[in-house]
Amino acid sequence: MIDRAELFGYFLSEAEDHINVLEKGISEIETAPDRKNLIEELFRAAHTLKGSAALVTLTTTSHIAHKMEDILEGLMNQTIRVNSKIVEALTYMLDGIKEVLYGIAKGKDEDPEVEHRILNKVKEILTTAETVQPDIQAVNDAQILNAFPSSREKEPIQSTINESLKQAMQESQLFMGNFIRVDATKVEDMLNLIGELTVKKNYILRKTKDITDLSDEIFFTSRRLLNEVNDFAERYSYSLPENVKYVDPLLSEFGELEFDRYDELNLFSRKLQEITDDITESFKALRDFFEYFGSDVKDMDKMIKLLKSDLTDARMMEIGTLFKRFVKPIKEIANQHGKSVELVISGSLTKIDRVIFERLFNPLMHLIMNSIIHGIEHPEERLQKNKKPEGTVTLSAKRSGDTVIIEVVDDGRGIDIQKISKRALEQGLISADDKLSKEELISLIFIPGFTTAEKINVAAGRGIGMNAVRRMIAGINGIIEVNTENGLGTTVRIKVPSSLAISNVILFRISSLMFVIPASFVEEIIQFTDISEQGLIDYRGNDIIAKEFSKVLQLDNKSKGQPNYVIVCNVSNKNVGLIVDEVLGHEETVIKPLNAFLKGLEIYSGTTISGEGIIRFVVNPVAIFEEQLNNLATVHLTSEDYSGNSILIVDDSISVRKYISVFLESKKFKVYTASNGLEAINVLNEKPVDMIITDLEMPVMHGYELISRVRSSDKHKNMPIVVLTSRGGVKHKNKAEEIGADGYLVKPFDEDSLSGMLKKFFSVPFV
Amino acid sequence: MSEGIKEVSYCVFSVGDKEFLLPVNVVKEVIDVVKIFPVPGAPEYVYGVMPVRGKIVPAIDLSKIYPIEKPSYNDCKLIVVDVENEHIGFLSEITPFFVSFDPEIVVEDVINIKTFFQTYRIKETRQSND
Repeated sequence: MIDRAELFGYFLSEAEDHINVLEKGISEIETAPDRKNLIEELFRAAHTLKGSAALVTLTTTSHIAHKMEDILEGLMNQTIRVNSKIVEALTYMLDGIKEVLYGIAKGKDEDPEVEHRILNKVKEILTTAETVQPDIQAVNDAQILNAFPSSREKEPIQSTINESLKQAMQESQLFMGNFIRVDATKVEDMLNLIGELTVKKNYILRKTKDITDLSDEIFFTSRRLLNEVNDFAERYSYSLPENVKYVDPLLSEFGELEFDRYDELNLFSRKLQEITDDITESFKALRDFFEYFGSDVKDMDKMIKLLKSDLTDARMMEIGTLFKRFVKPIKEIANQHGKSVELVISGSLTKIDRVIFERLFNPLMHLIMNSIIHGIEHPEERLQKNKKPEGTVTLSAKRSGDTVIIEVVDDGRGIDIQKISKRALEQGLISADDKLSKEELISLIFIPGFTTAEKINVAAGRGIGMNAVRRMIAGINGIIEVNTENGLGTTVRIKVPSSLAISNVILFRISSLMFVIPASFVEEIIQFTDISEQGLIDYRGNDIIAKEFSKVLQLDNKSKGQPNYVIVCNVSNKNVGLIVDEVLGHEETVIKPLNAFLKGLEIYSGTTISGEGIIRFVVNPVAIFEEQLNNLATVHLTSEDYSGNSILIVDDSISVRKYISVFLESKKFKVYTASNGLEAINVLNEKPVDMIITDLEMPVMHGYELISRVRSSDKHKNMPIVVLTSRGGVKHKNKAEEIGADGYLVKPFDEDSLSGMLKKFFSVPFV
Repeated sequence: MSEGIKEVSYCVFSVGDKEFLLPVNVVKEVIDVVKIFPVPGAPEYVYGVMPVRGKIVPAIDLSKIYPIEKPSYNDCKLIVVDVENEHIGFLSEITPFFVSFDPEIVVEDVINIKTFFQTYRIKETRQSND
């Protein structure tokens, strides 16, 4: 239950609007050029105010507003004529309402005394009103002012004004600060901004980790440098006398052990030591900074999340408001079909994003119509089945983590599985020897054009029904499941994310193309092993339909990558597998709707931009696995790239790794790095690598050992390996080739020789 | 200044050897093409998409629609136009310039942006009515 204070809160924010309308309107009523419209507007305001006050059981307010409504109605019908007394009476009543509401806002109860006082006074004013000349222009300011004291128990004018001023100030406090009304699109804009902030923040978070790693590495390198320099300095900080070529005449009297003498080498080594100390100190400071920076970014992360959830809440609406909209249409449809249906609503207070709220109406309406028309039986039939004559349709909602589960349940006859199977056979959708589970048979109802209805009827049964519903639900990243018990009823369960502002997505790659898929569809990600001729793969002992996404996109063979993973998606009552090259992780992002020019590309449901500024299309698995997918244009990746081929660089020198990375990335290679052989083996086990470039001399595991290990592994034995070393001698080179290196480059190398080497292994020409 | 004569202004851009005109009032902005992302599955004339002020704008290659020699889109511009509350862009090999004509003159090669949009937008296979 909503508590009373919250209820009053909503009421007060609404009342404020009506009071503003009344206040402004009443003051203009005598002078307004379009008096008729104004009075109508005022009438509506008073009427609504009366209604909502009655709803929250504020009877005094409601009664006063009712009286105002009466007067305004009289003005509208011209049974009462506009004059200053009428205006006075209306003003007086409005003041009364404001007084009462001020008390409510302060947490007091209504004072019924006010009602009597106000209504009596109004009566008094109005009885005198009849004697007043209708010619309003004649009533001058002085008279109006004079009218007040008499109606306020002979208070002096001055104090009345003061008091009303005071009251006005109190009222402005009452109505200011507690509630503001904001255009929903403004909240949407803010949420979009937060979404983009989140994307940038995630980028910074990722980069911070990289930079922290880098700074660690630099710190240790600088420590090593310091040690070397210290050793050096210790050895050379003092000279042996025979090396001292210049003797300062001032010091000639000192013996060798009485005063240290320096030559250039001594001075240089000292200088070196000092500089190294300075650098180390600076690095320490830098490292400290990054430590704090990292935690600062994490704090920022928390704050952005809070901001996001607060603002998302502000945009949330109670689903009950949506459910209530069905009450009337359900009655009508039931009547039209000679059925008796009771609607049961539960979980009304479940909150849901405004955008989803709006986009749920149509699919729910469709499902409810299906329930009434196809599900619920006629009363006589129900009686025969020992059911109560009145059918029940239950609409329920509940929150489960980040998703909202909505159910439409009816206690009708259920979906006739036999009929589905028969129809599907007739339409050639299944063959007689197919052994389909109940779930699989039910999922046939989502096929476009499939219907079991004998007669096509206006309300439901056109066959596009369930297919359209599924599309609409998929449009808000939701999934729909149907379960039915013959004779007992049908349950349709819809799972939608509670908010669309920021979505969780899984990032994946086909060749060099990046895509995302909303996490709400994803059941599991598994390794790709094999696909049968019928396009089936094994998932937990079941055969599920799978498609290679590169084939869906019709990538030509040259641009095609290597399928490695299957994203198992739930598309309404069944799982399907989307086969992709690589799954790159998950992230929070803002999904923007597809540009209207591209709307027809149904395999996408939107776009997102990464923190790095890369556009990724949002894949819609429901459309991809829809039975008749429209033909897409064949894709040739014309861009000047190696379409996602990846290279592993193994070198203990960070500058070499960096230099080659930048070069290869400019050629559109995906680059992985490792600082020694062992790390390289780990990378190979986790990432799809197409080629290795390795140094020979490295700590932990040297290059020769890495090569021989790669050559002896089953998975990578054919991997191209290029050695990049400073050892230019024939001995090293022969040894490398002997154990299986495919290429040998000597440092320092130039870009041309590296390009030349790449051309040997990758056929796509450079641009 | 001659009063009474109203001139109509156009934005002129070119693809290959062909010039196209757009009414000035539909042109939102002209931007340098830095990076275009491919749109897998889209027809050839959709060269790619570009982020423009947080929006994703398709870049249209008119050489795939009109018989034009293969243009070189090195260092090209994108003319972003406003149509049906959406933004689309045309690739141009030159920096577009503006011309004005007497309204009496019949100007050829003006792209009717609404018709263009309706003709070439990618259409849904089925209408999901209701």
